[in-house]
Amino acid sequence: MSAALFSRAFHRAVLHGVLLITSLATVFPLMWMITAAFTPNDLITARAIRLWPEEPTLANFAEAASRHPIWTWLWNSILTATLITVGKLVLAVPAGFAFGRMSFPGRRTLFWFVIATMSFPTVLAIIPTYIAVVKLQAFDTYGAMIVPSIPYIGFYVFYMRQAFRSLPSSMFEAARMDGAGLWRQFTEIGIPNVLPAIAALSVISFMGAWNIYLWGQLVLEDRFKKTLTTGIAAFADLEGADRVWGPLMATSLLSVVPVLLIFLLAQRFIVEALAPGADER
Amino acid sequence: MFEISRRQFMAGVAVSAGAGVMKSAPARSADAAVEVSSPWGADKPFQKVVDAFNAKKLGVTVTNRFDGDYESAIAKAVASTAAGRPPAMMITGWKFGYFARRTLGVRDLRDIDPARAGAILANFRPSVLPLVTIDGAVIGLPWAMSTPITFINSSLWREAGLDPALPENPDTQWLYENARKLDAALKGKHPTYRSALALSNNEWTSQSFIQNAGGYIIDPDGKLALDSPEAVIGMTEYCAPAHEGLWIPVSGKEQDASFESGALAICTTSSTRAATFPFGHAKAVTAKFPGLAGHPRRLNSGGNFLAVYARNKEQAEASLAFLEFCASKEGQSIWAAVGYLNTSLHDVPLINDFMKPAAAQLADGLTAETIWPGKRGLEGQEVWRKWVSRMLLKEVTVPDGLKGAHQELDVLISG
Amino acid sequence: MRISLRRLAPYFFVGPAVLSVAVFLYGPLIASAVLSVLDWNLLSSDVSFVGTRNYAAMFSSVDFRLSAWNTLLYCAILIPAQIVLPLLLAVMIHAVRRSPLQGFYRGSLFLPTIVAYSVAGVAWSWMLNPVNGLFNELFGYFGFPKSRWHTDPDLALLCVCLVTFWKTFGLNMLLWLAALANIPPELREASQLDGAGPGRHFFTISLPLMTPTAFFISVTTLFHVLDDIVGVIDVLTHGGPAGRSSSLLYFLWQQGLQFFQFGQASAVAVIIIVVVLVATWLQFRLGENKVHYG
Repeated sequence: MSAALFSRAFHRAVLHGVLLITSLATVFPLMWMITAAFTPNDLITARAIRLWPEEPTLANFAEAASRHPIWTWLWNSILTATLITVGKLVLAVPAGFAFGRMSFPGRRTLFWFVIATMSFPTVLAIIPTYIAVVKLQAFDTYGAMIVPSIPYIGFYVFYMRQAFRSLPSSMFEAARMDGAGLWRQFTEIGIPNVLPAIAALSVISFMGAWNIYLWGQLVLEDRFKKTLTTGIAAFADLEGADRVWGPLMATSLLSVVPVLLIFLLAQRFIVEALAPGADER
Repeated sequence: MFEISRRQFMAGVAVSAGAGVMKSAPARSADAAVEVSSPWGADKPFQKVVDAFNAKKLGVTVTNRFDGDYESAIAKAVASTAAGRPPAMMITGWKFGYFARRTLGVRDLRDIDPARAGAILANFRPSVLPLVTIDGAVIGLPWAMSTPITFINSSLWREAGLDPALPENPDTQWLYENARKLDAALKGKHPTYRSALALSNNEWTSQSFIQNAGGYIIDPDGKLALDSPEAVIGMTEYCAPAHEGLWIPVSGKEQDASFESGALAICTTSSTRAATFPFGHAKAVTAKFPGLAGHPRRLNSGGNFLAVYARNKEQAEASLAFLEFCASKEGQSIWAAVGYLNTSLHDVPLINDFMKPAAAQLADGLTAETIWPGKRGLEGQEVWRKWVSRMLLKEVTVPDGLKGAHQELDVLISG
Repeated sequence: MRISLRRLAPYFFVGPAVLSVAVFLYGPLIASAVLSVLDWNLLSSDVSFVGTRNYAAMFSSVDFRLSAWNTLLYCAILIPAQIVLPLLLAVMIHAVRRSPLQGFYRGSLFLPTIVAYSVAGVAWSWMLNPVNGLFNELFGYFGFPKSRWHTDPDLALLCVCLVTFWKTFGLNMLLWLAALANIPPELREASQLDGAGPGRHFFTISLPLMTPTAFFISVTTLFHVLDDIVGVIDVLTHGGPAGRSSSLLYFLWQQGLQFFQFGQASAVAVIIIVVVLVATWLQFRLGENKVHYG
């Protein structure tokens, strides 16, 4: 083995070592959640560290479902996260197209107007929005959860603009020659060519919406309207002595798995689509 | 194929809709429906009270809605009240009495029906009625009272070789001395033991110390009294174990978790824990809350009240029907399982012997937790807790901490 | 007619986005400015104008000043950490991109990002519990002195930083990975032919090509950090001990939605808005000169 080859192998081994340790350390705090979800409830507090459930069981899921409507929560999470995602895309994709491929008076100003909201913390708008929701009698409705969560689209508009800009102009020229109007250029040329970007943004939006915590806590009241994230908060709010760790952790696991699956399936997509800057001039 | 599956689907919908109706079957369509916002889920004894009431089929159907702790339930009540549909009934802490009356507009029970209200309240000890009388209005049922008591992990106590016979009226000298012995005996030698003592930084314990020293947080004239020498004596004694390292102050949840896992040997907290701690891993035994040697004991209590917020006559009267049941001997007997003290005149047996110190404290006489007055009273508890934290952590000296708390609270509650 | 419709078309495309942003994001900012000069608690019908009294009350409040200072510390610690450490991880993952373990690394490192705050709070208070938490058990085992972690006034803020970082670094890591993956491989080969080492290659070729991502991350990280801290504080410390881990946004949250002091909370909101807008404007001004994204 040559010295150069050896040094490269050594390099790679070090890299893997560092990454492996970092990955395990990152997942470690969640280890307990995973094992506790499958450990009988009365055994859980007996040990601080557990790498494997002593008597693996699914009873915690049944127990959780008998205490709280966790399947309804799961459905609510899917419903709200999906609608928020669709809403964001409906707003952001056409806007990104117009900002990226059309020239019109005020384009720059309007673009910055939308993009500047990327740096707005959501908590800032929370009080006036809360008052509006209450005064409009929308308190404790899915609408109150969904509608105000949609307009955080600065990020999405920015990305869609980049995605549309990176398409070669010749594509659109050709369509124009064929007499395609703007709408057809958008739906027939634009959208099909930026599907990876749309997919990536959908996943990111879905994950974000899945985890909306403070706002959901505030406006969802009925226990059948809660999402998993807010439901778990109510579950975990019980005082220590009354906490049922097993069912709580089972529900927590339930809240993580769907999003994790989506992420794992889509991660290639995301990584390919999420790079801004590959610009065509 | 499509048709069939569609029909099957529709049939499925019909069945599940039917099941939905079945679940709420006891409710006849003519029943008045009353929803109670509560801090307890469906697995708690309060649900049993609700179920027992509904089983009587009195033409009123009550549903229990779990809304989290008092603070989050209050926040939701503000929102739904502003939206024009306040909860028909809500359970909240005594400490929020002023807020409930002045801001949320809780109903005076006597305004709904003076005769029935009088009959309901006649079930309770006269001494607890002032707790639910705010600005001259009777704002609810004073049905839940707890008081801080001492919980001791019996096996840690035994392993440290301490005397299993606990004094009837323990004082801090006795408690701290035993905590020191326990720590010396077990520290670093026991697989689960980690810390000797926790007094809780919650609504009641610091107030108890001040009162035991002869002082007040808010004196009987309604004036803030944290600048008194008695308050300094009480808080110095309260902070001593933290300054000495016997007590590591943590949040209530973490404290409970440590105690249950056998890491914490002694903790003073709400007597409602007597329903759980003795039967868990810690096998707790109980004693009264420590007094101050050489001072008369003047302990306090905390609790919650069940109140009516419904504006319309039908709902308000239906709510009274539920209150009547809750105040009755039958209702109180089911309710007792939560672990609260019996505030009614009914003869309700203690749920277990671990409740005895709490019952004895009630017999000795209890004062109320602080009901923070003023428009910004909601913040009072939070501000006081923050200053207690500073004193515990030695960020300020006890006299300076009390001075700071006095000044900040004075602005809040006089406004 | 056709011509005017053509001219209007772009506005139909951007209109919904612009309107929704105006109503739901800029609207509340203006509403906050109005609320900040009022005294109102949502329920009472009497609304009184108090001028700058809410602002005066905030600036003279010790808790406000403490949380403002904490917010500065949070930004000083978390913004660089949230930019640089994810980049390091992304570079390492990118270097082993042909390994079958790469997916595992990416998935594990991203996992906390999709965990609910309430779950993260439970997991971390189990690790950090000063009485019998895992960290102290390990410290004790190796003979180190035990720590009070998030209940220690001097460490609470750092613990919130740690948990916030753990909870959120995944997204930036993903963005960096995406940028790295999109660097044309020919460039790498070219620089290898020139005899450039991996370090030089990174700083002279890769990093400059990633400036759009760098700019983008630096802008979004600011508000992500501000937002995410609130969730972590809410589940871990509640701003304690004695306000030592509170941040401006958490302070706002407490004032507004725990104590219903909408006027004062809105005054805090307005102060934050001014600071955030200035910071964003500066970032864009600085960024625009250096970044070429068209």
